Amino acid sequence: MNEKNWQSELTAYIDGELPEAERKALEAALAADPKLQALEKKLRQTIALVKTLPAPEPSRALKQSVLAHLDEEKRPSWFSWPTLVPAMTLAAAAVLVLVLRGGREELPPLVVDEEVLVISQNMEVVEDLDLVGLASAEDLEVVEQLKDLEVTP
Amino acid sequence: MTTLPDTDDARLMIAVGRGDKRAFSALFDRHQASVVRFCGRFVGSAARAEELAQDVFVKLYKSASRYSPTATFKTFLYRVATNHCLNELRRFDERRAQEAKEMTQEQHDAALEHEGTSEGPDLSLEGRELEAAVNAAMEQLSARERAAFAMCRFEGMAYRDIAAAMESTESAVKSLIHRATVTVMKHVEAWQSGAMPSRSLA
Repeated sequence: MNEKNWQSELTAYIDGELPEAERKALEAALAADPKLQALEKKLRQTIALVKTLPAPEPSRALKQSVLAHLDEEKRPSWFSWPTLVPAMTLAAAAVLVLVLRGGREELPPLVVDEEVLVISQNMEVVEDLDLVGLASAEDLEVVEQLKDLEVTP
Repeated sequence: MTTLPDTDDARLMIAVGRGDKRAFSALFDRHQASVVRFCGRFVGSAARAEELAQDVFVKLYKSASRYSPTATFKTFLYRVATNHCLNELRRFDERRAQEAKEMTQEQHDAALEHEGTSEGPDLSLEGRELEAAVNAAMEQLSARERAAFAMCRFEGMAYRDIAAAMESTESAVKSLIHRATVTVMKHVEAWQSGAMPSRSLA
């Protein structure tokens, strides 16, 4: 094996990954080659330096975060916000309908202002004439009288 | 501290596959430090290490039912972690390439400076410079060289286990690790001789 090939085996040699026969052959080549020795030294220094680098440490929050993520994933597929929001809206609407229907009989009698009652009884007219500012019972009476006047020859 | 044999991990993993959360918790406690370290070194960012580690453990949990004890647990764990980091690195590179296209030169310079900000544990100036030199070297490695280098140098894994985790051969792993170590050596030498530009070291 020539020098170049030995160079490519050096890292594996330093890592203790060469089979016995190759390791012995490389050690013989090393003993006879100062350039190979220099490269081996530099590689060893580099590997030793890299080992001195501190590693990032996991935070305490990591485990909670992972477990929370798994809990989220374990929920049935329908339990997701895109599905849940319309479902909740429908449920709320259903509850509202039930409350209103069920509660109708128990409601106290309405005390309605007479003026409001007249207006509500003439909603069609009010809606038609709303644009011209008719909003009270008196106004409606005037309108009705005008109609009578029209009919009268 | 007693190191529990890998067979215990395999047994726990089988239990996780049956939905045992306590077994998962035990596995997590045993391996969280090495997964965070590996992910951080792989992508060259302590800040992203936890996010990646979280994804790895979630994937591990999900794949537990498919786990076969024919592979050692550590191999299986690093296979999941390596694949996830490889994909993440690919996505990150694509994102960065897209952003670089849209960036002005000034924004590009500012982003490079921000990337160089130390996010890891407190280090001396020399330690920070060494870390920057190693990170700069790792950025020049292929994704597979990075993976093999990180498993070998930071996790102390044997070539055979790295090959299993990477679904490769020992011979290929030997070449990956040698090329990566030589690249790192050249960067460290440049840093030691003061030849490394400050940007690379930032």
